[in-house]
Amino acid sequence: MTEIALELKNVSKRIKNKEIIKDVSFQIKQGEVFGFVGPNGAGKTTTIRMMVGLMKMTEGDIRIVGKSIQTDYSAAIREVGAIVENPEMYPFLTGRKNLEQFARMIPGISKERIEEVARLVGLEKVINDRAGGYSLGMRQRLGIAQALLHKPSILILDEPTNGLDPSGMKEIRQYIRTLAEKEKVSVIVSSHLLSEIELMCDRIGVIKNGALIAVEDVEKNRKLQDSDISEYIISVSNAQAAKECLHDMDDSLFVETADETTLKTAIKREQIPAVLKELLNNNINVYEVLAAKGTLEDKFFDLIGENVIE
Amino acid sequence: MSNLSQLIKNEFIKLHHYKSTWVMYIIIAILLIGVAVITNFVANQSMIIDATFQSELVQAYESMGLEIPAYDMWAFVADNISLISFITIFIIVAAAKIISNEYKWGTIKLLLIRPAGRGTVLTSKYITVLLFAAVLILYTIILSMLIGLIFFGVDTWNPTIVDNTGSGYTEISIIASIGKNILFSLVPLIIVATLSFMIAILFKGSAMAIAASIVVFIAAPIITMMVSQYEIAKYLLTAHLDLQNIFAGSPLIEGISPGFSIAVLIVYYIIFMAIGWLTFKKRDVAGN
Repeated sequence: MTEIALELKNVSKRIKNKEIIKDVSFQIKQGEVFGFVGPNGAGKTTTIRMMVGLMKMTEGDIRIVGKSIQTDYSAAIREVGAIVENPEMYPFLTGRKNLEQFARMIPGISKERIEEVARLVGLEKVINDRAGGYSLGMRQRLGIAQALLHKPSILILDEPTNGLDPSGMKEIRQYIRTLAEKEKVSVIVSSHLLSEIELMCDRIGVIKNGALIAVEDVEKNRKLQDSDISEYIISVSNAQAAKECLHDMDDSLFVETADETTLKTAIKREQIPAVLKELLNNNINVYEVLAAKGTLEDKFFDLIGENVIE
Repeated sequence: MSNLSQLIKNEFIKLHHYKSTWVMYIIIAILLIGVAVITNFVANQSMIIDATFQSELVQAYESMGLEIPAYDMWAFVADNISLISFITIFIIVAAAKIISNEYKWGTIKLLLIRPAGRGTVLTSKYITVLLFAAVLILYTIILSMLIGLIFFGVDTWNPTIVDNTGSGYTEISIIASIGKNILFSLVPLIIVATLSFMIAILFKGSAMAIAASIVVFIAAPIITMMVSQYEIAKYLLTAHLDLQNIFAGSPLIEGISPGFSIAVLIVYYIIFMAIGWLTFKKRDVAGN
C-alpha cells in the first residue's frame, strides 16, 4: 500500500460568515504529482495557505505524513517545502546568502546541501549575485531551491511556471517529474493553466468557488482518448444528405448534424477512409475532417462552466 | 534554543545589510566628533563649566571641600549619554522595519512555514532589536571614550563627581553616574521600541509605527501637559518616560512617585507585548 503523504479531511474556511473553502477532502500519495486547478479566486491559494499553516481552518484537519498541521505543527511543517504565491526572497542578499538564511531556520542543513540544491535548480552561475537582480525565472528557481533545502516529503508549488519562458517551463516540468519519480517527493502544483498542469501531473483536482468538484486521473484520461472510438467533425457540402447517406451505409453509426455543413460522428480511426469514400461516391463534397478530442481542457470547462466568482 | 540563536543571527545579518543601519553608525560617529571639535575649539572651558555647574552645584562642591573637575574624557562621555535619545529614534525605526520589511518582501510567509513556530520567530526579532540597541549604546560609549581621550585626555580612571541623586547632592563615582543615566534612558528606549514593534505588527507597515512612537517619545511632555488637568494624565504613558526627573523629584505631573511610574511602565510594557505577540500568533497571513 502506498503511503499517504498529505490528507485533507473536510476542510472548511469561513471568513466573516462567508464560506471561502467548502468541505474539501482529498489525499495525495507518496511520489505523486497532484495538480490543483481552478479559475482565479476559486480558493487554490487559500487551500495552500491552510496546508502550510499560514491560515487556520475553520473546520476539518490537514495531515502531513500523518501529522496534523493544527496540533503537531513543527513536525508537520518539517516535511513541507513550499512557494506560496510568489517566490519571495531578500533582494539585498545574494542567492547563496538567501539560501543560508533559510538553511539556518531548520537544523541540520549542511553547506554541501546548499551547493547541491543550487546546482540542482541550475543557479550555480548566479548564486553569488544579488537576488534583487534576478529574472523571474531565476527567482522561481531560487524559490524551488529554498523549498527543497531540508529534503521535504511534500513540495507545494503555487504557480511554479508563472512568468517562465517555454524552455524554462519545460525544465521545471521535467524537474518536478524527476523529483517525484526518483526521490519519492509528493508535489502539489497549482495553476490556472490546465494545459500546463496536464503535462506534469498524475492527478488533477478541480476547485471552483471553494469546493473540490472533481479529481481527474490524467493517465486514465489519456488512455480514454486513445481508445477505439473518437469523435470527428466533418465539413461537407450538405450535412443532411451526408447524414442519410452514412445511415444507409451503417445504421449503427453515431451521426449528428451540427449545422447545415457540419457533421459530427463517433467512429473508429480505421473507418475514416470508408466513410469518406461513401460520402464522395454519393456526390457529397468533403472539405475537412477534424478529430475532436475530448481533452481535459474541455472537461475542465464543462466542469467549471463560466468563471463566475460567487 | 539553538534554533532561536540561529534566527537571531539571521536577523542580525539582514539588519546589517540595510544601508540605513550603517548610516546610523556613521551619524553617531559624526555627531561625536562634531561635539568634540566644537567643545575643544569653539567654546572655551569656563563657558562649559558655567553651563553645567549651576551655582547650586558649585556650592555643593565647595561645601564638600572638593575641587571642580576639569573637562576630561569622563565629562565628554557623560555629556554624550544624551545621544541615547538619538539612538532611541534609530531603534524605533529598526523595530518597525524588522517587522514591516518581511511583509514588504513577502518573506514573512517563508519565515512562518518553518518548524520554529511563530512565537520563536517574533522573539528572535524582538531580541535582535534589543541587542541592536545595546550594540549602538556600547558603540557610542566606546567611541566617545576614544574621541574624549584624544581631544581632552584623562586625569584619573575612576574620578568622582558631585551629583544630585534625588535625595540631595552627594559625591559619587562618575562611572556610576554614567551608568545611572544610561539606565534612565534605556527604560524609555525599550518602552517606545516595544510600542513601535507592536504597531508594526498590527499594521504590517512601518510608517504608522515610526510616526506614533516618535511622537510619543519626543512630544511626551507636550502631550502630558495638554491633558494634565485631568486625573487620567497620571496614567498616561507619556507622563512616565522622563525617569531622570521623576527620580530627581520633579515629575511632569505633581505627586507621581518613582514606584508608581515604574508600575505604570510595566503595565504598558506587558500590554504592548501581549497585543503584539497574540496578534502575530493568531493572525492569518493572507495577501498583502
